[in-house]
Amino acid sequence: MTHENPPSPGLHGAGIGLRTPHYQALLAQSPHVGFLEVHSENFFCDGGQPLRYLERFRRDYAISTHGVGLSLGSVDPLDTGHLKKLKRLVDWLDPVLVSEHLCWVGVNGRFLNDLLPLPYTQESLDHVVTRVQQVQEYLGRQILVENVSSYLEFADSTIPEWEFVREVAQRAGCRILLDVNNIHVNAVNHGFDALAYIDAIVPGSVGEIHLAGFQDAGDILIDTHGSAVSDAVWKLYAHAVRRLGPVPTLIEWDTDIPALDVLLGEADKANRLLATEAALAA
Amino acid sequence: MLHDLQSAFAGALLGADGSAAGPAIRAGALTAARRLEIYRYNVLANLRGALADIYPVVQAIVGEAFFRHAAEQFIRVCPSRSGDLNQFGQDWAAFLATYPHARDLPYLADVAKLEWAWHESFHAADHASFDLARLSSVAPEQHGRLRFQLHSSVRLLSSGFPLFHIWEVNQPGYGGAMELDWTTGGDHLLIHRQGVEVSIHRLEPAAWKFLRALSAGAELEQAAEQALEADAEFDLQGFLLQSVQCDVIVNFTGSSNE
Repeated sequence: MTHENPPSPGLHGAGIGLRTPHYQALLAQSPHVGFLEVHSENFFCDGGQPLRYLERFRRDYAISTHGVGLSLGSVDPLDTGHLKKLKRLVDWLDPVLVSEHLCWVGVNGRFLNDLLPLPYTQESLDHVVTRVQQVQEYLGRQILVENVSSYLEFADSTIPEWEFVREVAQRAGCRILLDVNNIHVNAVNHGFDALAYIDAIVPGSVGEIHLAGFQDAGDILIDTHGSAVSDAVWKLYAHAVRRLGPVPTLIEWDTDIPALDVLLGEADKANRLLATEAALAA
Repeated sequence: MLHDLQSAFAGALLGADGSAAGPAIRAGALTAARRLEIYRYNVLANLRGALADIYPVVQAIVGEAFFRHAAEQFIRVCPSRSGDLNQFGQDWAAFLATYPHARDLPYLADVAKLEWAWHESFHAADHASFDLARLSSVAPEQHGRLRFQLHSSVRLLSSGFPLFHIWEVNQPGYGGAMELDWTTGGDHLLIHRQGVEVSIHRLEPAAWKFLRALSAGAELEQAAEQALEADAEFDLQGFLLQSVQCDVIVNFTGSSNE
């Protein structure tokens, strides 16, 4: 397992999440985007339309896979059936990046299928590091783990979230998928400094950035992936790019999915920002 | 420690015991109950959405409010067992069959079975089409002993209700007659995929029994016997050819020159 952190091969600029409502428009327009990202589980099937489309898109685009169900943080044993399907997909597709979430989605054999936060403790850290290593060993490749949004903090937590994320990457030999929207959501929800979070992340350890929209519920921000990226998150993103370099960036939009052009507009915005920051750094 | 916390939290979200998770949560500006409420909402909305994606016809029949209520009961009784949401909801038909509020809709469970069959068929493995040249190399007197293999997407469903028509009138954009004839008896259905398109067909009982026998591993001769028992006029040759042309039958085994 490599502990070096080379730039992600074949990945440049901003990509978009691949969602079924956009299949036809993508095929008709063949727009220029940096990469397409799919939810791994949507392609766990044995055959049929999902894989047929993915095979078609793979011809024109770099593709990354993003898992929502591996439950890295759960105390249940790793689901070998799930892992096997992930490996089958990864071996077939050979994606440019493979990522999962720093969370748990079920326990005692019951799944909630939601990205649930961990208490940030030494016990959790040791557990997650072991699990990430097991997954990397099984897949035979490095993965990225994403910081999740949360609506609570656990009383047991003793480690700041940014330190936890940084430590997981360093100890497990994985890379970070830094979701800047999630950092903003958590900073507002839990009252910490989002800039300090980003400043705690080691340059070179981040292989991808995620951007998405949230919803303000009045008393708390909810990570809905259902709207445009907010101004606050764009500012934070600029700060992240300045610190971390021109990291491949994904626009995520999963609910109230807009027309493809809207998504491409967001990706363009990210590309312009990446170019500006690169010019400033030069 | 981590195990206790995750167990208490999952229990609180699925409604078994909300109080156990409270002390684990830092309250701050919002109460622990409010924070749990957000997660409970997200979890239920997610799982309900997954069910609604698989079961649009059930939802069209019962309406959104009924579906929502039933789905939330179901999520607690038959929780998701996989991190892959496409695996969730297999027991929905069995749940609806005994769901007291669905008593007046005795066909609802069969509709759910049909939609699950469609869902499975959609995701099943691909196959190359039947190799007719290979079959022509088998001596005709051996044909009866061949075992024909069905496409992985094939599902066979029988119902005491006019299930095909119920499904049809609840499709988006359906413009035909809305009246259902309940006196015609039930349906024998074939659900299968050709290429990437899933389709549903009503079969004569003889044809349905023939395919069912093949799917159970019967030799051609035994399967044909079962079909002819149901209908002495059953056109075996014609149906076999049609099944091959539509990729319902994709392969065979059992010839001596294999």
